[in-house]
Amino acid sequence: MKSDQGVRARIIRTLGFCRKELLSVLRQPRLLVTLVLGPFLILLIFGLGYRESPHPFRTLLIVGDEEARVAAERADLSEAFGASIDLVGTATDVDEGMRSLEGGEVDLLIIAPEDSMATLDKGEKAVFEVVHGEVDPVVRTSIDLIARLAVDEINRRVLAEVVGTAQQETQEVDEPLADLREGSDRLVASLEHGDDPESLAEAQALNERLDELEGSLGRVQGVEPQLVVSPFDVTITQVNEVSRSAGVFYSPGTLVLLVQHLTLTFAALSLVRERQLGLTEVFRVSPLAGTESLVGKYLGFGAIAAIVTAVLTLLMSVFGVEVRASVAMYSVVMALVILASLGLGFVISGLSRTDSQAVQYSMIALLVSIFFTGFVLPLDRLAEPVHVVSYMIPATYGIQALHDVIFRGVAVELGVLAGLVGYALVLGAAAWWMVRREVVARPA
Amino acid sequence: MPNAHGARPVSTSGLTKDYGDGAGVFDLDIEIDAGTIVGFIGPSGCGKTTTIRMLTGVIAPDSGEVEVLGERPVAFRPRTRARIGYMPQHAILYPELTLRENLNFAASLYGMPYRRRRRIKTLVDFVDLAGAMNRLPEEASGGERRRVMLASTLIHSPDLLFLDEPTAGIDPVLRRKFWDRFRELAEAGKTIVVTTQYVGEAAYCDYVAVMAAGRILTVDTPDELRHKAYGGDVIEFRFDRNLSSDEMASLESLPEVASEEWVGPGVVRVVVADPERARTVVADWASERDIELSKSEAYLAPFDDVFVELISRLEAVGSHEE
Repeated sequence: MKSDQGVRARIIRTLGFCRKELLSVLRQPRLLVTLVLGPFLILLIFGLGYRESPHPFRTLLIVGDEEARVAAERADLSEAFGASIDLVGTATDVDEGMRSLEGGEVDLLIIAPEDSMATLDKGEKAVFEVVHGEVDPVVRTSIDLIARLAVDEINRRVLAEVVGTAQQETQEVDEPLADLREGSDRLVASLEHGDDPESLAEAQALNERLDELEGSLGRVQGVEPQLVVSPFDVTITQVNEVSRSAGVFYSPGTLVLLVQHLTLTFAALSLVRERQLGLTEVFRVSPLAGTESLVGKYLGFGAIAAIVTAVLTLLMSVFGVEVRASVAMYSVVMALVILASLGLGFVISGLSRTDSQAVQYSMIALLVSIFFTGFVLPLDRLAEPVHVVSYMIPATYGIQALHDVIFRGVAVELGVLAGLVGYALVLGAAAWWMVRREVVARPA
Repeated sequence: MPNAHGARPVSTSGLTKDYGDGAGVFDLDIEIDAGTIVGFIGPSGCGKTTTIRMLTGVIAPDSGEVEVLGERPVAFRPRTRARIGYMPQHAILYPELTLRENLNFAASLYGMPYRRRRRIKTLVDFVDLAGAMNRLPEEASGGERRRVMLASTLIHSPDLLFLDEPTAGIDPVLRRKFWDRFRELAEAGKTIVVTTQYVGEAAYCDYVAVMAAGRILTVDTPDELRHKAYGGDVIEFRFDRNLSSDEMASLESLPEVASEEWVGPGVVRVVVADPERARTVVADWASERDIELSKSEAYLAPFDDVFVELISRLEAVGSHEE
């Protein structure tokens, strides 16, 4: 049986590689489980364990003296500080508070200003001091925000108190005003029976001014103090009706990262393993063309990635993630993510000298993907020059595209789609060049 | 080498690959005829594998000319590659595929149609692996892996085979089977270029290229190599008693005897130019001295000895020429 060198032979060689890659992966179930279920379980546990509202900070309030301490406890400031602050006690000694903070008994100290009225009388702001020992920048930002919100709430309450007091004080003029009104009414009545029209007109004008004064006073007294200090509120409406839970939001990103990592790792190990085994030497002597080897590998690994994508998509739907745009568009996006990731993997494989080097590069690609693709942080939180790194990773396009397809239910932005297609093509060409270099002998 | 089968499948002239520090292959001139087994024999690192790699197009030479099946190996057309079988030095198999799947993959590399079951069965029988084909390489012995490699090399019925140390690391019985297979292939018209470290395997080749330090020292048939190594044919004479030193000197002074060597009690090996004439002369010489000659027969020295003898002889000639 002689070998064939026509189109049929090319197809047989290509499918030979496809079959070989499929068998190689399926014969390594542990690798498949490690690469797919491992990260999936980690992210699942993270999603289930993630608390959307942070744990409240255990807080000790420090006030100037014992009288203030009793007053503060009576005032029940917990509501004023909000749900993020768990007011565990009130004390008067700052040093004692610092010891509690250093001993880990509390997370925050809020030191109230001493004799704040005297400070305000001097025309200065009374300052609350918040002390903490946090090192995490996210937590520090959170404390900063919570402290400002708490002080805003205190300011609002103080202002409401002031308005309420002012309203009470205006009630003190109600009685003299009523006397004035009575006298004025009597004066108008007596002048109406006389012959002094000028005096009557003056008395009537006086009466009208009293009406205005009573009206103004009534409005001031009738308004709720809370409305005066915070007249506006806000309601938020989400047009796409997608669940706001973090688990749902991170699902598409997780899918893209998992599929990218899986395909990239398989591809990255593929060429380098053949080189280490010495198979490229056999390929160079055979009639194999670089294209046949590469297309076969694309087909083999692509089929595995497609199956994994289908399984993960099913799991996502179990967790309530639904594709709002067309399934065809979703499939196109994932197919492009797989193609681009395979291309990147083959390029990594071409650059690696050993399989451990290829694994290291794959892990670096995963780390870069977590931080720079919009998976954890929105892309606009990164400085513009860093976007170059972001758009060098297929997952960046994939995550953006899936957010459109899954959450917004709209067609993928043309730029994102073009980026993904371009990326897959450029990496595919680079991979072809590298594979060809591997399997075709080079003249001197 | 005489050309008995038409166009020569392999022809080189001044072929050189210099890795520096004396490593590589230098000025390789060789022509190989179709249907022959040509063995490259030499110590480890003498350039055998580099030669095979240049002939197969795995690496490009630095200088010189090389034509294999009428083409430069680095520019082989796919059609030409399909006529070549290459078995590398180490058993290269995908560890996750069974031996049968590895063989199937090799078949697909050559674009063989999927109805290849009969061909695979023939080859599996040819290499005696019928019971082991569903094993993974790690479950197979070294010999079984080598046999699968040989089957993979033969799967597409190549006309020209390059076998780089095909018998390395396998037992003598299996080695003998391999050489029997190679002979069958050569008789079927295949050309086989084979390297080996086992000098004794030279006897199985039609021609042997002796290599040392990246150069071919000589190319000849196994018998001619023996002749070259000892400066003539070796005949072993068995007498009824030990010869005295005077008798040994007398034997060596015979014009038909180039040299002699005492081997054991009453046994002397003599290098001669004309074996038949020498037998008669030595028989007469023994009769004159009342010594009974019980046996005289041609001595085929083991190729290990031939090789050592040849290397020292050729190196001596080389240094004398310098």
